[in-house]
Amino acid sequence: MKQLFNIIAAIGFSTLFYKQGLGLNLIVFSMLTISILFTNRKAAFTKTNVIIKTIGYLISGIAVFLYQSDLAIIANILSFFILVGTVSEHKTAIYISWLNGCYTTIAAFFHRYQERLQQSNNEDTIEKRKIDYLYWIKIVGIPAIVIILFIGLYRNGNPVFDNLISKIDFSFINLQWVLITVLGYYLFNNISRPIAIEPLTKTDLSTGNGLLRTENPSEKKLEGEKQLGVVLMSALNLLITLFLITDIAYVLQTDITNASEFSNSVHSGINALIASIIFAIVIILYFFRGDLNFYKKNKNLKWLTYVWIILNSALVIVISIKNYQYITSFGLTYKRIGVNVYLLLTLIGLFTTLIKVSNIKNLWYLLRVNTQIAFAILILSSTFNWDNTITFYNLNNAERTDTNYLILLSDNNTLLLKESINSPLFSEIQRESINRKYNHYITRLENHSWQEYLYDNFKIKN
Amino acid sequence: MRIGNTAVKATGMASVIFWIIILPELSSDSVIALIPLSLIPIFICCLFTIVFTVFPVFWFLESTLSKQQIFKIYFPYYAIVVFTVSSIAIHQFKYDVFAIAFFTSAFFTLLQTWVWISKQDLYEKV
Repeated sequence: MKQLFNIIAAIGFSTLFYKQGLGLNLIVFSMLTISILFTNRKAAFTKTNVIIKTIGYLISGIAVFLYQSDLAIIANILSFFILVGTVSEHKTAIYISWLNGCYTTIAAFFHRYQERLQQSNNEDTIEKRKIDYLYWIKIVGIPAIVIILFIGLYRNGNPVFDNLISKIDFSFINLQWVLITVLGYYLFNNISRPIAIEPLTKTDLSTGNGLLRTENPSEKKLEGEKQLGVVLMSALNLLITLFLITDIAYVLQTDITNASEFSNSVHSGINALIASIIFAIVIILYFFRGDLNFYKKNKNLKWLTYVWIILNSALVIVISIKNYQYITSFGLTYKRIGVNVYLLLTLIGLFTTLIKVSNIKNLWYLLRVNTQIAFAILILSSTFNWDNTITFYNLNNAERTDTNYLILLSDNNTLLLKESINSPLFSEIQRESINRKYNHYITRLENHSWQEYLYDNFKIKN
Repeated sequence: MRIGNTAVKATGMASVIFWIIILPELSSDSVIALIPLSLIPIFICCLFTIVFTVFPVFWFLESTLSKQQIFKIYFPYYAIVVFTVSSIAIHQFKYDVFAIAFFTSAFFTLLQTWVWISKQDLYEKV
């Protein structure tokens, strides 16, 4: 029954993807994948983690249907692997789930085949298999080659026979469609029984988030380490305070009408921030890697660390204010949105580092939590039509707008550009470009098959 | 380990996959004559790839682990790396059919090669 379901799904797979672009087919494929996983692993779908990943996967599929952006496609592929991996083992970290999902999708067939061979590791079975293998080569392979050779010879010798053979027409069989179906079967058969990479998965499951105290640590060594930490953290706190004061003064004084100067200020701020945050986290991880976490006299060091994390967060806020000013003056771009996303991730990274220090967690905790949050942000950001958002904001709110930039964005802003074509911001040449872009997009939408349908297809019909 | 035997089997498998994918794209019947000739470059490709990417893993680890253990521990990462490299290469060649046929046959053949090599322990017992 399950095999039949896989075969039907494989035919569905080739119907959805054979010579088709991406659109509605990706949501249907997502639902097909979830059905296959649910049919084979019902118990896994009672776990909250699996349900959350399923919802994330569906959201990214819907995002592709709505906007067909590269970000949504990447999010969908990534969440597919993560979902399959989470079904194989729901308690592992997200990066282990991703690896398990990848492995299941691409090579589960070979893994199971090898496992079966190992299970039937007795001499009789192996000897029998060996004989069978040679037998089939002899029975099928050799006669086939000889017959093909003779057909070629007879065709040259007899025109009637040649005519008869040339009338045999297998063109009704579309070999490429068959191949896509086989690929679909391989894929669905692989994911129908998700597997976990060992011993990686077991190691991840047995590694907790907390740090363990070693027996009888040297008090002298800990005291020395603490003193070094206190001196270093105090100096770094002073330095970052000074940097923040000068940075705030610079923001207040900077002439934001000078685009290049302001751009330099934001970008150098970002570079300083990257170095500072990486350095901060490395130092914190070094001092709080082991017994210093349990040392009774570590309070000062802990407070200095908290202060440093808070000051780094303040640095993030100052840079985001600079970025905000930059956006209000010169409009949104992908790079400026990227800066905001980076700042958000940094803020979250600092917050999780603070939790790591206060709750005595290990490095794996940081890695697990931060990758989980990064994945959630990826799914969330794939649900936005960024091209449309950039266009809308720049046309309505920005003090100065690079209209050529808006025209060069993907087709996701075409309908909005067409609506705003009479805006005084556009020149006559640009209006012509917008009309060309619109006509090209409408033709593309009209040529879509049902598998490639996008939300805009329904929009233009109404 | 039987290098020659494995390379011959890999050549057979790679040739079948490669030509099944590429044949519908070729219009002229005369290219069928190229099939036997193609076995030579395919054999060379298989031999080099297996000798330089699969066998070293077994050669270095066989003294401490059985072939089945090596398969269980290292095959997943090998499969993921080969898949990634093949996908990137197909994308770089702009989804050209020849590239798809070449890298798809390489991918499946290399994975099957791991199974063949890890199976050799079982046969050697007979």
